[in-house]
Amino acid sequence: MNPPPIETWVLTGYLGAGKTTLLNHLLGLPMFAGRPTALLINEFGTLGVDGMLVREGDHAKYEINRGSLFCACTKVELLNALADIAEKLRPRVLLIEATGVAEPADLEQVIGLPSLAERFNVRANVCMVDAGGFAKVAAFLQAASRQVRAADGIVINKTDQISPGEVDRLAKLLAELNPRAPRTRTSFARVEESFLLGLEHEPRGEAPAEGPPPVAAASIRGEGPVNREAFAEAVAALGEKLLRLKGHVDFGQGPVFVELAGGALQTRAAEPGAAGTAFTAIAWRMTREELEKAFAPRTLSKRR
Amino acid sequence: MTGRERIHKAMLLEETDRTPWVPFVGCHGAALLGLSAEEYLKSADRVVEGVQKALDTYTPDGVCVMFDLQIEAEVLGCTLAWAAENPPAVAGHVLADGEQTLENLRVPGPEAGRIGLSLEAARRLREANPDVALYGLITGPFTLALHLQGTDIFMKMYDDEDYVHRLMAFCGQVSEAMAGYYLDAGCDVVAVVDPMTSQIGPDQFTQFVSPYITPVFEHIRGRGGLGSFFVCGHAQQNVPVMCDCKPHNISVDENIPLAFVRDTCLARGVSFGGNLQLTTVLLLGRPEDAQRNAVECLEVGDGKGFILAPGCDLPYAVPPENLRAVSNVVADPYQRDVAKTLARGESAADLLDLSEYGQADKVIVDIVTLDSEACAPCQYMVESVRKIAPEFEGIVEWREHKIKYRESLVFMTSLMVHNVPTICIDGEIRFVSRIPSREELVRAIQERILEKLRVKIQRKRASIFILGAGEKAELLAANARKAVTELGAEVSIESVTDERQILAFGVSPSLTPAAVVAKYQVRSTAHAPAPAIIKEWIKDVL
Repeated sequence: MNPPPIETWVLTGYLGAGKTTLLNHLLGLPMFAGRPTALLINEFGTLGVDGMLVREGDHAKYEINRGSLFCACTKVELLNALADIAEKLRPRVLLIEATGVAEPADLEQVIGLPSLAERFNVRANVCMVDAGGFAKVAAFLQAASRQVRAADGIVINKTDQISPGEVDRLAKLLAELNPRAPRTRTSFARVEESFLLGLEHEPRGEAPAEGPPPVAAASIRGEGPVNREAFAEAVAALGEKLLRLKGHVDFGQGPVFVELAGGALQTRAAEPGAAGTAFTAIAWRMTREELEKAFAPRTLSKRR
Repeated sequence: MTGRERIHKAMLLEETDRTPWVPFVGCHGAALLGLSAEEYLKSADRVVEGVQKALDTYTPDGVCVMFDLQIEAEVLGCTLAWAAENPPAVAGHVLADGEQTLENLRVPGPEAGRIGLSLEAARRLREANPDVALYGLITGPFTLALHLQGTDIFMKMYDDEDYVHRLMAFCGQVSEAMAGYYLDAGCDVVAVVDPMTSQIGPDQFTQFVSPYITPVFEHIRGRGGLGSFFVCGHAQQNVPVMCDCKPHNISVDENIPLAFVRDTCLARGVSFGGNLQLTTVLLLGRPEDAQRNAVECLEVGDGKGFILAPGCDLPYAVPPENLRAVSNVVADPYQRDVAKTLARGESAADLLDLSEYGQADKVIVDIVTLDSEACAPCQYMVESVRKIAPEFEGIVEWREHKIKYRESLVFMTSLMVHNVPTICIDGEIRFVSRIPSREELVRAIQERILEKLRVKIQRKRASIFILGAGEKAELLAANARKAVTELGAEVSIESVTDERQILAFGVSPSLTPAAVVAKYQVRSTAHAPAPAIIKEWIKDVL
């Protein structure tokens, strides 16, 4: 008789979102503690940005970090590691920490290969989201939003680092990306066991079809002075669509550093070497072109 | 037309005599020599030997010198983690680790680190193979930037945009220098491999990549070389903006539909290549899977401006027979026709249960062909059977299955036949792609006839039913027992006295005693054969 399939949990999320902290937290939960568990870690780079290490324990640990930049190499290594786990190790539970640039559909494709499909049962795909960093990463890294879209559950982590209003807005953005997945808010990745037990896995086939990016970034540059009121009006008109703004704006007396933080615009002295107006804005529910238009320096140069 | 000419013409969107093909042999060259990837990628001698072996084994139109996108990063100070069956990985990002600053990095020279050995290998391969297109692979600027900086480059795109531009400008300079070195070493094509661009959208691509990679392709063009832009991963969104960077060619992997790439590239005057499936087909599949996949690609890409290739570095352990199978369909129109026909209809759901096939009294000879009227090898095979058939009149039946018809294709697949033409005798594959001599064929059929006879004798069981009661019936039963004993046959004698049961045998009780002989043959066990098979049995008893 074939052994029961290995209960498999997939953890995704951008580097620094807290996946390793979550992994350590999970290993201590009653639902995992005491059960033969294997870890499969596929991270890009040597350590997480916070230098976090997976804690030692009774679990076997596989690391895939060779040539993980490239699809073919990753797939072959993943395939070999999974085959090894299924044939030699045969744990009850497998926790996979995917790289922040991983495409979840690729992972499921490998697990779904005929030689592996009956050996592993994906229990859930949990995506970690860094409350403060998600919007700015999602604007540039496609995998960030793809991982959210593919998740069965979303953990909004590090919520203590931003205001409750900003967390609410992020939750709305995540709900638009993936209305199906339940969300939970945590600090230090302390996820309740009941949240995990309530998750249901929905198998993914092909990679999601390409759509417009959920979050748009625009780089705005200009030579002449910017009208301060017009700039403030542009920010106000964008309202909650504007997620991030940072850079230098020359309001007529040389550039000052401007940043949208905690929902309000803050200014301070310019950084050394700054010249003219050059800032980056990130928004959702709009395209880059619309965002650029909203901040067109020519528009901002005169009063409306 | 030489392979080199074919690649040149395909890249320039000119007519070719057939589609060129380039297997991207990187660390697979090590496997061909029985070495580890590390032993291989650190030695010019080994690389030359491995690539030469790949050329001899796969007879492609073009080949890569090395497929190792960590060469530049290593020279610039990144630490590498080596593996037995993969290219090395960047383990330490020199700028992220604070070991170095961007301002202190310098564009490496042609002798620095493993750049020197790769260029030496290129020069030697060039000299030894004047008719093969030689690809020099360089790390694309964005991927190199990721190697140097690590993934926090995505955060820096927001936090420090100017820095990312400076980093990309440096990486573009490195790419341009590397392109020049490979052209100097005699490479025809410089492949700018930038897989990490699949991680960003067209907006970011145009902002952070286009300004730095376009000069690389312009430089290649200015030097009279050919520039190919390799990308792998989910990069469909970027194909139009990749075309704007002025490469001669774009090569993609299986994550992007080839028809999309074809339409997008050709509309912009760019040739294209791809996209054999690396893992599921080339590594894990059978030769016929590789052929089917190659035919699918050829069907989409055939025509001007297409180069058949895998999407990325071939896996170390890819079975050579799979790549040879691809070479065969590229070079041989007949094999391509066969693979194309097979690709049309094979489906596990349609398979017939032929486990009982060939159990009839007659010996069945099946000849699976593409079409004996259109294909010479098929014609000779059918002729060989037709000639000996009269000698086995009444004992052997033969038939041709032309796989251009769907039912024949299903039959072929059900018999597990993978090549045509093939001769099966009673469902067993006997001659594959080889015309047997008359003696071989006669011997094979005779062997089968004898085997069947043996089985038939062993399998036969019979009963004699003595119907009725009384003295006459007992006498009949006694005579039957005596006959069975004298013959030594395995026949049971059953007495039936119940009138309803006697009637069930079709005998009136008034005509008893009567004897009915019944013969049994076990035709299947432990499963339910399909009606088609049961029909064969019924024909035997009627």
